[in-house]
Amino acid sequence: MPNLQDYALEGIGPCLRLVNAEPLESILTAVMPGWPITPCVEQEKTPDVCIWRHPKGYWQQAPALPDGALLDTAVGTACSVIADAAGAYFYRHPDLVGLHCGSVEINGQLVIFPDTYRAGKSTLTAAFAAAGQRVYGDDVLALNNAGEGIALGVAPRLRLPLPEALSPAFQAFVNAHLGPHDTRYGYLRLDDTQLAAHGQRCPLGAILLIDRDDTIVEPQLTRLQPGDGLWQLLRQNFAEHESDQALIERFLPLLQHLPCFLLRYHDAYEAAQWLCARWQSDATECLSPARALQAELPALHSALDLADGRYWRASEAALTFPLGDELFVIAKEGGAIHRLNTTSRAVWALLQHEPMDLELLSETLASFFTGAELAQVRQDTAHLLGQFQQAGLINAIRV
Amino acid sequence: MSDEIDNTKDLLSKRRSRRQVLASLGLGAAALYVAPTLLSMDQAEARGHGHSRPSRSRRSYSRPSYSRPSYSRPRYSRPRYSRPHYSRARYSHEHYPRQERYYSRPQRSRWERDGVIEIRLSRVLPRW
Repeated sequence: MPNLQDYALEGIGPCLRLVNAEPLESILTAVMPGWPITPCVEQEKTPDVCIWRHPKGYWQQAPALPDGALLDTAVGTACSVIADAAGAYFYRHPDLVGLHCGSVEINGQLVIFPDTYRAGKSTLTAAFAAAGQRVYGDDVLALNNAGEGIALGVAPRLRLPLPEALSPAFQAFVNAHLGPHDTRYGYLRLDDTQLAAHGQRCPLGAILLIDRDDTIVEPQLTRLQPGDGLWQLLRQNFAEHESDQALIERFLPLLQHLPCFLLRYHDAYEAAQWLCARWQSDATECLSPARALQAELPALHSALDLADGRYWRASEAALTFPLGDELFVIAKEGGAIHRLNTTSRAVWALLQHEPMDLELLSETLASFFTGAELAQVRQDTAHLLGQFQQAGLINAIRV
Repeated sequence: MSDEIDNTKDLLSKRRSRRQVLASLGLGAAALYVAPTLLSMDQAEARGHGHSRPSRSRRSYSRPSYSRPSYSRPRYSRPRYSRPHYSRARYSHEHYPRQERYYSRPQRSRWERDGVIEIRLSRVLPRW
């Protein structure tokens, strides 16, 4: 007879079955120390996640893996189970939004750093733990309607082997806290003072965009526009079934008061220590927002001809969401989200006010803004109108 | 002459109203000009139906998937003895009907995807 055991996870209920896979239980308990997993009676209905021992590792089936998957190590299997558990948790709690970010508690507030994969979230999260801060997660954080982050209780996971360039103190911390690991990844074994338990809440205090750069000598902190934070949250969330309009409306009140910073650093541990020493001091409070992030130049083929004489009007169907100096626009239900900086927002407002052509717009902007040269403004505006037109944000009209 | 005066008045009035529009955005007379930018993200791509790749004219992105280790594709690695006989019927694919697949994610693991950094962060931002 196979050794079959079902398990329940806090906040989800019975959801996991191990078949001849007993060694996984201790691994799972170790990699999600803050998320209680308890054996339960055999379920009549097969749990969503099933794992069988396999000669080459473990075989897993789950709703997100309908064809199954062969995982070669216990740690890798545990990681896969965590992915399914997180998905199930957000399915059971539709009022929560899953954010893809690292998160640590500093001075009673959560600092979150949403970013893409391999941006250094986990290393920075571990570095904050080494610097004495409490970790809420290195990959997923739940966000409730009150603007609080909620921990899942999963330990940070580091890519192995660690880079030799890491500072010796951080290396020592990782070595002292290394829990379950294989050749590729290792989970940190953190106690409950270092890792928030499942369901633990903390208000969000700031969004940190991170930029690891080997050329940086000393960490640098720059205040960003709130729109940078919103843009990042819109990209780094797991709310697959919520419209972006609903997400913007959800994030917007939060972003009105949530400072957004760019942290540039070379060494994660040095950056964590450096930031903790300055956090919420006058040095961070008085940082004035950067005027604008340098954006990648859009394609030139979308620009209007400089002799274009058509009059344009802003689309009345568009939904607009102002944030700071910027404006977020959705042209139509289910359509793309557009982020307009100060000048683009000015053009948009003018075209909402009255139909204007390229020349009239350029003259208006050039006469209003300081440091605006008409020829350059004309070229920029032609470019912008071309993009607006392609995005369906403006319509040509007859006057 | 009168028409000329009227035209001038009309022109000045329109200029004034445009300045008022700009002032209503919180822009003062000393507002510095910055090149207008428009960043876009496509909701269809955001739902994971598109490929995450950089684009000059349109920034695409994919919603993230939860961290999952790399795993072997069933068609390559699924062994005949992958599941014991006792479990084949009970835990087979049919036990995951579509309506029960209540949460979904792209199946590709995150480290199989191309990373895309869409915001080019300025190297000349004020610092301390």
